This record gives sequence, C-alpha cells and structure tokens, in this order.
Amino acid sequence: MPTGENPHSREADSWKDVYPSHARSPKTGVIRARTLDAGATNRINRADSTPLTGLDFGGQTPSIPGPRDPVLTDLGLSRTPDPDQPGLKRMPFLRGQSTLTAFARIRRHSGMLCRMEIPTGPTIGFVIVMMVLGEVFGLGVLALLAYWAWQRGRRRLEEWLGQSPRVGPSELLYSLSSWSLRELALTAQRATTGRPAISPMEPPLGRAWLDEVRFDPATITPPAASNISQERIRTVLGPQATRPVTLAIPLILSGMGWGVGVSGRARQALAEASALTGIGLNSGEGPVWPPEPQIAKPWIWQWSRARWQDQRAIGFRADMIELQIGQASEGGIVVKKPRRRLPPRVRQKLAGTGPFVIHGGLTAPLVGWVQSARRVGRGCPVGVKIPATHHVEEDLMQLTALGIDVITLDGAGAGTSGSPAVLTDHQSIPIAVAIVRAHDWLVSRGQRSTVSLVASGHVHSAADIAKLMALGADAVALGSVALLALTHGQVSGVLPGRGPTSLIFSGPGDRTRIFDRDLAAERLISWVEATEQELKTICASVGVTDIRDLGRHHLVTDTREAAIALGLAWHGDRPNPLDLNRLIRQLLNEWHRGLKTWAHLSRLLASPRKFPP
Amino acid sequence: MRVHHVVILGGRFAGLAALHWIRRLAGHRSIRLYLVTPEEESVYRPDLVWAARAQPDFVRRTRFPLSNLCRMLDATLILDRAIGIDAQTQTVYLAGRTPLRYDTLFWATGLDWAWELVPGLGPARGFVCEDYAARHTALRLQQHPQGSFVVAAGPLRQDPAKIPNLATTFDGPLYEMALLWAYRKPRSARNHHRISLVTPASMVGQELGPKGRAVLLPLLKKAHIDIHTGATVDGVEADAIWLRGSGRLPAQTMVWMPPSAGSRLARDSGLDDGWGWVPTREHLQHRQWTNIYAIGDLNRATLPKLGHTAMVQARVAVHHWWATFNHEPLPPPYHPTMVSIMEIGQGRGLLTIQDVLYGGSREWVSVGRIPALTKHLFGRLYRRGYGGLTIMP
Repeated sequence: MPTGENPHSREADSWKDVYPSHARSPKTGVIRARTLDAGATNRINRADSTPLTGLDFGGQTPSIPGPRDPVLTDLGLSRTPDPDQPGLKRMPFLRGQSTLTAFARIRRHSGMLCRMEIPTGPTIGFVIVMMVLGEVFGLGVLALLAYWAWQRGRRRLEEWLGQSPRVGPSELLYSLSSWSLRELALTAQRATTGRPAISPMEPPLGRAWLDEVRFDPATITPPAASNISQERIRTVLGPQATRPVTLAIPLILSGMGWGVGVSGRARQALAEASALTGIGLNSGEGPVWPPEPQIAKPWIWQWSRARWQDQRAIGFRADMIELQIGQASEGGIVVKKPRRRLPPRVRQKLAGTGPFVIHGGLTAPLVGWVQSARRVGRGCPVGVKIPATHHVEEDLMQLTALGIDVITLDGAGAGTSGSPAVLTDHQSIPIAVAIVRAHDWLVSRGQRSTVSLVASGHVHSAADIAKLMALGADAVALGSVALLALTHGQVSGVLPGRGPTSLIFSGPGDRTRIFDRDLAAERLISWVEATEQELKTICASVGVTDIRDLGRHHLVTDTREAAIALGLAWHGDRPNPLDLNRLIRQLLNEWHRGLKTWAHLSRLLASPRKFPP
Repeated sequence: MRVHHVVILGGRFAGLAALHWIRRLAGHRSIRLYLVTPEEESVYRPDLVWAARAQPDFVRRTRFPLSNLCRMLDATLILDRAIGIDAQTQTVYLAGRTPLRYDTLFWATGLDWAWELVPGLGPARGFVCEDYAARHTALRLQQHPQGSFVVAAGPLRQDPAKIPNLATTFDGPLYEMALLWAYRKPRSARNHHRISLVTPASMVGQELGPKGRAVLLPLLKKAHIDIHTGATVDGVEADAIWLRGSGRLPAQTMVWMPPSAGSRLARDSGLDDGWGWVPTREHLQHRQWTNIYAIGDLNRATLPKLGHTAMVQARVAVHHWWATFNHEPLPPPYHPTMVSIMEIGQGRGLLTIQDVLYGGSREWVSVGRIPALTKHLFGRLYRRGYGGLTIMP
C-alpha cells in the first residue's frame, strides 16, 4: 500500500460485491438493519446469497439507494451509484460493526448517499408537508377558540361582577379581600375537628420591630474593626453561678421536646450540631432523649410542667437547668393530649396511665421549685422561661428576688409544633420590646451583670440576633429557623403529599423514618457557621471587636414609632449639638471603653502565661 | 425457679461481648437479660479513623442496630441512660424510667470526656471518637485549606499509683489519622500541608513496647510529621494550640483525642477509686461488690480505648460469673495483654501483641498488608455479627 493512502479505500470489484441485490427490496433498495458480524460482512463482500434480515426500526430502516432509485432521483436528493461502475470501494473495515455505523462509513468513504426511508406508503416529503399543514391548521383552530373564549369570558366576567354577591360566586372576592388564607384554613380546621385550631411553626407577627431597625456603620471614630476572633463571639450565661455556661456563639437551640415536638432523629441531629458548634441545646418540654446529655455541649435541661418518668438526677448531667413557667405560644395553660397521640417510646416515658398533660400554672411554689433545681444542678445556672408580657418588670422583680441566673423571654411570633392558634396569633409582646424593657429594668436595679437575658421568638437571621444583642440580650434562642436548616435538602422527599414538618415533627403520619440525620446535622452546622461569620461581619461593620460590646448606639430606626418603642434614635432626627443626653451618653461610652481597656491591661499584666486570657 | 436478672450497662465493645458470652454459656435458661444503652445503634469505632481519607458518609457503614441483636439473643433493650448505681439495694437508676433491679451487673459504660481539663477545648474543635464527630471531621478535612493539620491527645486524669500509668488514653488513632492523612492521594497534595502530633506522653507510642516504637517512630519521621511529646496544652483557639514552653502552634484543622477523667457514673455512685475509675479484683469483680463486674474502659486496670482488651475482659468476667453461678471451678483470672492493629497508610498495618506495658517481657510486632487486612476482616465480621464473632477473643 502506498504511503499516505487510506487503508480502508481499497476498491471493490463492483457494487454487487458490497451490497447483494437480493438484500435490497425490489422497490426502494432497503437493507434491513442488523448487526454485521465479521461473517456477515464477509458475506456482503463475497455477495453471499444469504438474505439479510433483522431489526426494523419502527418502520424506518436504514437504507441505501438501489441502482437507479426512482424516488431519490425524482426528489433530487442523491446521485444513484452505478452498479456497473468500476472503482467502488471494497470495505473490509465494516467487520463487526452495526449496519447503521457501517452505512455511515460507506457514505464517508465511497461518496454514496445513505439515509433513512419508509419502505412503503406515501413518500417522506409528502408526510412532512402534511404534518406541517396539520399543525398550522390545528394552531389556527386553537387561536380562534381562545379568541372566542376570551370575548365570551370577558362579557361573562363583567356580568358576574355586576350580579349580587349575596349568593353568587363573586362572594369569594369579597371574602378573600378581608380573610387571609391562614384564617380560612383555621376556620376550616375548627369546623372539621371540633377542637381548637392549631398552627404549626411560626405565626404572623403583628409588627416586626426588628425589621424597622438598621445598623449604624462605623466610619472614622471608631473605624470599622478588621479582625474579630472566635473568642470574641463567646457569651457566658449565669456568671454568678458556680459553673457558668459558656456558649461559643451566643445561640441556643430552643426547647423542642422529644415526642411532644420533634422526633428522636431530629433531636439527635440537633444534639450533634450543638456539640460540633458549641451552641446550647435545650431539651424542651418532652422527656429527655437518652443520648442527648452526653452529646450536646452545653446541654440545658428544661424542667417542664409535664409528668415524665425522667428522674431529677438527670439534672446532674445538665450544664444549665431551665424551669419552664410558660411560653409565648401557649402561655402557661394546661395542655392535654390523648396518650395515643404520642410516639410509642415517648408514651412509655409518661408517668401514670391517663392522658398526656402539661399542667397549667405553677404546680408548686416557685421558691421550692428553684431550690430543688439548685440542689439538682450542683452549681449550674438556674434559669426560667416566661412569655414576654406587658408586665415583664413585675416578673423580673419576683425572679431576681429568687436569685435566678438566666431569664428567657419568649416573644410573640415564636414557633410551635401545635399550640392553639387563638393564642399563638394573638398573645405576647414582640421580643425586641420585651428585651429592651427587661434590660432597662435590670440596669436600673444594678443587676444587669448578675442576670443573663435570653431572647426568643421570631428570630430569623444573624441580623435579628445582632439587633437583639444590641438591644440587651446576652444570647438568642432559635427554633423555626433551625428546623428549616435541618430539613434543607430533604423536603422534596415528602412533597407534595406531606408538609416539610412531617420529616421532623413526631406524631401520627410523620415521615421521620426517611429523615437523614447525618445530612440534617451537617446542614444545621453549616447554617450556624455561616451565622457566626455574619455576626462577625456585623460587629466589624459597626466597629466593635467583641459581640458583647454591641449597644443601642449601634442601631437606628426607620420609623419614629420604632424609635419610641425601642428607645433608639430615628434616622430622621437631626443631632442637636446641645443635646445633653447625647453628650452624657458619649461620655459614658468613653468611660466604659477606658475601663475595659484598663481591665484588659490589668489581666495581661497579672497573668504570667503566654496564652491570652 | 427464680429468674436471675442480669443487667448489662453499655452497648459498645465490652457490653456487646458480654451479651454474646452470656447467651452462649447460659442459653435461655432462667436468665433475664437487659441491655441498657442510650443509643439505638452501636458503632464500630476502630474504623472511624478513616475520617482522614474517606467520604463523610462512611460512618453509615460503621453502625449496626442493637434491636436486631437483642431480638436474636432474647434480651430486653432499654434505651436509656444510667444515672446511678446503688450496690446495696442492687438497683440501677435510669434517667427516664423506674429503677432497674439486678442480680448481676456487667458495667461497661466506658469513660466520659473531660473537655474542661484543657482551656478552650471542646467537641467543636474536632475529634473522631464518635460517629457524628468522625463524619464532621471527614467533611472538614475534605475542605481543608493548605496549612497545618494537628492531631493532639488530651491528658488522662487518674490515680498516680494506677498501673499502667499513662499520660493519655490509647493514642493509636492519632497516629493512624496522621499517617492516613500523610499518605493520602494525590501525592502532590501532601507537600502543601504540615502535620503535627501533640501528645502529653513522654514518648511516641507510650502504649507500645520497644519494638513497636522502633517501627512507629521511623514511619512518622518518613511521613514528615512533627512530633511534640510531653506537651502541656495551655489553651486552644480556633486556629492554634498554645503549648507550654513552645508557644503558639498553628492549627488550621485539628483532631483531638479528648481528655478523660474516668466515669461520672462511677463517681456519682461512689463506686470509683476516688479518681473516676472502678477498682476490680482479678476476675474483674468490683473490689467491694462481687456481683458487679466492671469491664472495658472504666476499669482501673485497663488501658482505655482498646476494643480487644474490652472483649477479653468481657469473656473473663462472664466466665467467672457463670462458674460462680453454677458452682464450677473458676476460670483463669484476667491477664492483661495489649493487642492492637494500627493503620499506617499505603494499605499497611502495624500489629502489636505485648504485655510489656503491664510489666511483662513478651512483644510481637508485624508490619504489612496482612495486619491491615485482618483488621478489615475483623471489622466486617464484627458488624455482621452485631458485636459478636464466631471465635471471640
């Protein structure tokens, strides 16, 4: 073979050497598709008399035009190879290839046309033309119908709107303009069950004060901070206790009880996230999920008003004990559920044989309860959870008299797994206002440094957390947003048949078995890490290097109402150079800053260690 | 005939081995077995060091459910946590239900981590002793930026007179992590990281004999691992460890063998030696209460975190109980021997069998692929047998 010559382009003796004539249909010269093994290709090459039969591709088969094919000639699509013409290629390279591939290569090498063709019936061109015409006609008819329907519907709509709405369908228009879909659903729920309607997750917040607050960025004095270490994000709860609680980030996963709220798998994921990020985990009103005390760090045991078989000695393992007096979504009311509504393992934990009951009010004098908690806690902080109320100062007065270390205020808009909607939607005051009032009251009594405040309710992001801390909170408890992060990536597994909460809420009809706790825990950890970064960013922007230095002077409001409610400056106000309050505030800030610097320097001088305190 | 109540606390190596041995010896005759553990699943922990190399979801393969095992062995699974043991009334107090009476107690709850022994240290810094921690560590190592990777052991608080007296728990997993990470692929990635090993022990491989150390040390040096022995950690930050005398050691990613101070349950129950460890006799019975057998990590005579030791102790304890129960001749007492297989990268393992740590002189070391394969085979059979093997050590 000469150098550079295509080895596959050896010439065949004749056209018949390549394609035996009996393998073509008499009319169009179709060769049916089949795999050409080496033997078959040889047979083709030898013009073997064995007929080639095989697969039929749905009526269309690969074809090669026969000699003087009248159809192709008429359509002008190809040139007809002359079987008698010498010089057609012999093609040994076709061995072991499918017929389609073989035909493609034949065309490439010999210049012949190879295409799909319908063996019998109307020609392909005719079919294409008919299809196009059919589609055009169909679209035209549809357009006419739509035009006719629009014209007719428009007239009907006008007539319909003009009719009396008393019994007509236009009544819906009037109802929906004054009723929200939520209210309609709650009404339907009451009508169906005959019981108080419940609303899962967060209820609407009447006025989101936090959304009307902005950060006031640092510019020259002080400038924006450049670097905020993780140690500067830490918070200590109950500083007066023997064993105060340190949170790596000022966040607590709010009390979502096992069995009465979320499933065991969800509790496991929450505990793992707590351990691996250093944020607190509250056990909630349910019984203790057994692995939780060992995993979560720090772990807060909520001593609830329900009668579980949990022994008080579980408090030995707690980093903090919280006495649950009430919450925003329920207040301190009695809650009863049939025993069968609880998961089997949780049912076993229920003391007695009656229904599941969370007792209303205080089951014992608060003094005795606090003393018991102190005995069980062995020096850990003792906290109390109460709803945020308009008489928060009176509550604080009683609680501080008992020496409570941590007070958790649960504000309006706090989520729940199934509290009465009549309470969740219409009870408690917003957490921003409650925290401001509580902080101010504690400052006025000189107890701010001894009592820690935890804010809870309708907290969605790092911005909300930072704003609440600037308003006076020491830490923030999260519920719904943690559950959203927990279920991210798995919701599609239950939709549309079930809601996303079926993955994590325990109870009849839940889908907790398909809940992937590994994925969920990592999602929540990622969310916490992102929030930590965002908190640092906010601190840097307002010019503080420690999150505990966030104060009200870092916030301004969009509205005058928010400024009055939260005791902040409204950005519409012009600063008065003779404003005595402002001057005193500035002086106090400088004084505090100087004291902090002095304390820091004193610690450094007093410490012989290289490790910074 | 009176039913004998046997309670096993703990569903890990020692507890599960005890469960298997009891059913093998006693069958189903007049013995009522209770397994008390907070977790629904047990985890084969020796495989968790693969967090250095594997995908995060490898931890799923290390878990096996305990409910199947208890059904198979006709034991009652109590998913709860023991919060106290009253040896006088033979009662175990549980966190979430009524107390449980026992005639014989096999106590294998292990030890508790004492993170507070090192300032700034906590689970969030990274460790691989639990499945969730190994999963998260694997994820972090996948995203590990170029920089320093530190494996560190926390101190062990114990009675100074205890034998063996070690500065930390069995830190073999740290060597495994460091070597697996050092020999990971691609080869080019190894040059961009600095690996450091920090241990309060005065030497590398404190739990190994001279031969084992002679093999391990060159392996660590060959992998360019910086070694800080006799280290006292003054504090831990997010990206650094402060060592007394050496100052700041950068650590973009760190994995800890947590500090330990014995068992809180032992301390709370007043059954410890004053340091959180349970003192036992030669057949692993409690010094004072003969119907309590302390096996596994919490035993005063144990080097913590060795699965093989826990399984052997379970065998000795159960055989002794069965012989006493049936008035038969007593089996030989427990002779501590340390058997461990460490992954050393490149598909090889380091097998050491020795009693040097306990005052003996025998030591046998093997390095190569066979030990690594043996470990993998053991792990597979262990998981498939729900913590039991056809031939138990």
